Amino acid sequence: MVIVAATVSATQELEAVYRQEGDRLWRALVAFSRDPEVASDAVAEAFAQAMRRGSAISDLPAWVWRAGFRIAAGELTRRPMTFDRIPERGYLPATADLDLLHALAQLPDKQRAAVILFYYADAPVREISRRTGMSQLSVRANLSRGRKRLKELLGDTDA
Amino acid sequence: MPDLRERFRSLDRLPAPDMWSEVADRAEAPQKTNWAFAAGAAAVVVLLAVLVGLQLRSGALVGGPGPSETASPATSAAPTRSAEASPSVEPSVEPSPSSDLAPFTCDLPIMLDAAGSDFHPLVAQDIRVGTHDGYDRIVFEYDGGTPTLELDVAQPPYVQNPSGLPLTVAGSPVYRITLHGATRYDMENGEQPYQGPTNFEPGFAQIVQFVEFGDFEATHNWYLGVNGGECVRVFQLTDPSRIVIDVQH
Repeated sequence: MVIVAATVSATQELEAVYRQEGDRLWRALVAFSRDPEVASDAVAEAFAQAMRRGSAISDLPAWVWRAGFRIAAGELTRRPMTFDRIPERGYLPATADLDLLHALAQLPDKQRAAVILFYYADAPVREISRRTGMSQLSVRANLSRGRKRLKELLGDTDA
Repeated sequence: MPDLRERFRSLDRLPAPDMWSEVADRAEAPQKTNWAFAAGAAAVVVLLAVLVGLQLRSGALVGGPGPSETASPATSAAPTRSAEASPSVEPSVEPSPSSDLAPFTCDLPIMLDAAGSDFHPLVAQDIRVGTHDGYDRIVFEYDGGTPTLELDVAQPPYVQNPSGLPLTVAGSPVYRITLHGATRYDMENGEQPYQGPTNFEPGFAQIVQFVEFGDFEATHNWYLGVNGGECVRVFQLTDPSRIVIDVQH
């Protein structure tokens, strides 16, 4: 049946996107939420929602990034990121740049998302706009403020 | 000190778990089920049943509206969100169709991209239904943008999200309307601007029942049971931002 064939190929296509983007999205969401559990939940839920939609999504990578950040942001709205919730030592691997993660945590959601997508996901402004739903103007403003604040927090003076 | 891009590269050292099998599991489940919530809701159902039974036995129906206030029989379970049917329907203030509106289509699913939305979920300001010459209309009103809409034919069993509790929807076929990046709850300000019904049974020519079945993780879900009709028209309006769904008579 045509529909079955279409579903199978949509799933294969989605898995290819997962293999290509999944790890990076997860790490970006850890940076965003500072909580591996929130990141895992958001990644799984974003791809599961994409799978339920089958072939209805035109730009899968942008869609799952956007969904992942939305879900993680929703989760953080419900239980805000506070310093009480800094993962205990060992919860995040020692290899993590904890200074960076703590500095990121002090940025507002939009600035944090824009900075992570720009510096970690190497997304240009237009792509960040697609992946967050912010206008390009808003991306530029949040990126600029986020970058400035982040450099201040990390003690980088030659910004 | 290393520049920002290099510092972000350190994220690559985080060992990411393989979530793919979890993805397939979740996608196959009808809806993500929150068992704690489901168990809690089930307990409330049992408790209510007992209370209703006691009240009936003692004949104590005097004073106060009592159990008649709970959900109409068409929607089962979950008294925690007692959806009440609304027979009264306000006249719609949306424009009549003109030549520049999209034509009706029977080709589903329909996807409508978000417009002017921002990073946080859009909060429903109003939800209304109305009937017009040639079509019935549903309107979702927002402030400052409209979410992504998806409309497709729904297959039973119909369940609430995320509780997984069953839901009966009158009408055939039943459509599933999914608003991505939308909610009724303004989490940031702790407000709920729309206080109206979440279950409409207006008795229109086409709209038999229109009932919310989920508002979870910035995804707002509704079922729309219609009277055999299959052709719909979906479009956006601005000032205020609205999504309009017309069902052809």
